[in-house]
Amino acid sequence: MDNLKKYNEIFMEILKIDENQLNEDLKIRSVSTWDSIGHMSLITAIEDKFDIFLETEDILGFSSYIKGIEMLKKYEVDF
Amino acid sequence: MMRINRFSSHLLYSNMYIIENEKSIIVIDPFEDEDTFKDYLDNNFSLDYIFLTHEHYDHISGVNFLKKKFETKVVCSSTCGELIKDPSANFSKYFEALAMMIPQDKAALKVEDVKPYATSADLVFNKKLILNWEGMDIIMYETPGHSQGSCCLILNNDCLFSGDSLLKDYPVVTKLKGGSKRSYESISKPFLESLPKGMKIYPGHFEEFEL
Repeated sequence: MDNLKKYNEIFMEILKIDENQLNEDLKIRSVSTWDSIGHMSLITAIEDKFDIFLETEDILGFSSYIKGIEMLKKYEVDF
Repeated sequence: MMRINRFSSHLLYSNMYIIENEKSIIVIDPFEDEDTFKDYLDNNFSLDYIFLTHEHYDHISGVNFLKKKFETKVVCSSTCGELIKDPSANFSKYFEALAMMIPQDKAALKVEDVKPYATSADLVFNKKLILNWEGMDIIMYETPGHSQGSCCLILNNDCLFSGDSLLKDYPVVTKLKGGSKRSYESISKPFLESLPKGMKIYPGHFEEFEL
């Protein structure tokens, strides 16, 4: 599975949203499911699925769908 | 005479319980509270056991603090005992991110300084554990669902310390990593529903209530 597909599936599964909602407008609290529990679930799922260990500063910078992609690129995940 | 004291923490307002009997105490889900424990030390109380209802950081943050001050034993489920060693599994690594999500409470939460945290248990169990403390039975049951290592504790047959496996007016969260709605429905919920009406519940967050 390519990385973008894997990344998208994490968001769709955890936030219970459709593929057409995966865009630059998707940010913390922009959908009701991206609350504190959703946020924790996204972070831990990203670590598990991409087999990486995020640094605290990256975790704190993860505030949107787009920023998550930028964050993963730092960990040599290609999109 | 036994006395149960509840303290609400600065970490997501989780509850720590200190139960006193004569000159002995046990603590459930500790956080650091210098003043409170200084009083117990100054008055020569022994801390016989620390019980953990599950592995999440807001319920274990005071373990190392207390282990330095008292000779005591930390008791939890065997799964919890493994997961408290891991800052990812106990979520201490993510607490700052959690604070970002709750900006209105950031000052009260004081989680900006949380560093990855690990601790360890001294006595672990699978499924069920029975201990006697000060002539009273303490029975611990594994109640997975909110987390893999969750358990509940029944003291003296009439008080249940439920951790995050049962809260007043809030559904149990099973969506976090390690959570399982299926385990909650198949193992923990039937156990909780089997408890007698009128039992006093001391939850991991919010106030006490009766079944």
